[in-house]
Amino acid sequence: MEIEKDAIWVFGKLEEEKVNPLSQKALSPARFLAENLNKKLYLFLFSEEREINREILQGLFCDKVVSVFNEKFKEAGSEAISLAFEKLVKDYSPFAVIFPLTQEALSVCGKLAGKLNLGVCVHVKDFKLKNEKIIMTRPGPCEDLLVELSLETSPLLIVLSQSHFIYKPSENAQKLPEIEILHLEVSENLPIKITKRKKIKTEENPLVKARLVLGAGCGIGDRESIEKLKRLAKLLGAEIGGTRPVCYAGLLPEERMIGISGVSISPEIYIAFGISGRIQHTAGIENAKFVVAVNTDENAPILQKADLALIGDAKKIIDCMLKKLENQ
Amino acid sequence: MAIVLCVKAVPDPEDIKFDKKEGRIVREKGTLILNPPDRHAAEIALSLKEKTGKKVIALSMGPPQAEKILKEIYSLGADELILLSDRVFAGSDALATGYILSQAIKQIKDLSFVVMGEKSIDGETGILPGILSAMLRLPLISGVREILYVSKERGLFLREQERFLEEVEVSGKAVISVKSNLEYLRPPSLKRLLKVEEVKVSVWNKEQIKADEKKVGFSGSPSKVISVFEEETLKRGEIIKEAEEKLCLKLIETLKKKGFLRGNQWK
Repeated sequence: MEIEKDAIWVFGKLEEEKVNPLSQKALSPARFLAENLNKKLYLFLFSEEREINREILQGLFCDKVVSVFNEKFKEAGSEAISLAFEKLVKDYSPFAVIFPLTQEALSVCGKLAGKLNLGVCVHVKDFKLKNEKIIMTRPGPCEDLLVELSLETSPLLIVLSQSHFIYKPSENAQKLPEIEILHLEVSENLPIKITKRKKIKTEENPLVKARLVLGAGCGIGDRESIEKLKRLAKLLGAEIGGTRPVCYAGLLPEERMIGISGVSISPEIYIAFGISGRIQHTAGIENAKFVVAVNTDENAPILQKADLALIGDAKKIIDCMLKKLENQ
Repeated sequence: MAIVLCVKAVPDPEDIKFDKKEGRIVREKGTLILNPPDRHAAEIALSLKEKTGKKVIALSMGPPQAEKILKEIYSLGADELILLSDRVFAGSDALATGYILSQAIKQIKDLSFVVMGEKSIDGETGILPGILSAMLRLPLISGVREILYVSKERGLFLREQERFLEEVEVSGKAVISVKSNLEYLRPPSLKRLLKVEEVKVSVWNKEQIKADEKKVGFSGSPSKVISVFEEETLKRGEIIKEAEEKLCLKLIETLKKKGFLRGNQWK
């Protein structure tokens, strides 16, 4: 197999003949590293099927896709995948391995780190290059803090945050990648076996695709105001989301939580009512095209994210909106 | 036989402040709480105890004040409490923490399962179960929600992994990480709450777990913190300070401009 050493790898999974969308998204920051460090970019696709449909390569901006197959991936999941991946990492010593934030990727990455004694950086939302060294940014232990880290072991193991930065690849990266199909042996006898598997029927969270989202924060954190916001949302055809405290207080269901612990949204307009804007929340609105902050506090961190800030009482503004929209 | 339950004391998120001048985190009251996902892990560990008759050993790495959270686990039903506490452990990242926990677990005889929460809320987001399982050379079952069957030789667990529910069978020992969405969490026992003050917490230091000093704390941690900072001002748009009535009109105007509230029906 032709695989250059010292390359950038992305961990990917082939699910129901499709590339896991989070692995595909992870190619974007990986591309940034590959282009700036002048390294090759490979997507490793672990697959439960022997064959791969070449149509899926469309839009994968990497130099090569390595599809790795073994029957045990289906039987033993991440246990088998991590053994196979460990072997590949040892044989081809990549410069960095980038993982999307999925439970399976976390298991594989953790196993790799523990086995090979490597440091890991989890929840990375941004990279910087400084003298060929990669500096990673991730949220700190307190809500509005960010931490910059570096790793002293090689290869670098990086798990991305769900709302990491998007990088547009250069023209020459946009051609179809080569594909290599690899049937890898996993010799060890594995003590675990997946005996049944059932797809969880989930309706897609309406927040994810909403064009207009109204967000509720502690400034309107009482039942009456939330009810009014719901009325307003109905009038505007908007979806409602909230911050962690609002959801934990039971004012909105947890599926409505926006941010690191909840969903990431990308509406045309996001209106944040009474939200101070801690990073746990704002990490989920980074892809909103236009952000309106309604807040009494001129110094609230949400203002740093806002295209338009309305300094005033969110409750009164909601009342006023309702009056105008309901009275005609 | 023993079930090891790993728990973590985390700073109360409400208590953390940032000192801008010094560029460091200040914990004003120093209050520690039980990492909320670990409450779910405790439920699975204690159910395993009921089903197998094995004892539950609660294990935590942290400062002496972390005894408090171990006692909280005692009130739920744990049999033994062990605190891994040594000055050299301070500053350990996920890899060094995995090493310390694995060294401690290796000292425990007749191990069956290691149970832990799926993540901790103060930063190391979910990587530890994988690291620990690799260091102990045990399989990992992540995202467990229910014990379907357990005997001396094997266990069958229901777990949630991304979009799938899976039944996973394991023969022998394993590390189990528990999903934080269990519907039932047992309340503390009154009898145990009354005894909680007298319960002894064993404190183990680096010698007791035979840890190599080079692999723990700051020196044993390959991830190095370069700086901690508050999120910068990335963009500052138009700021309007007016009576709410006017702000409301501005908001309606903005919505219209962006293609919402189409038509003239809006006053």
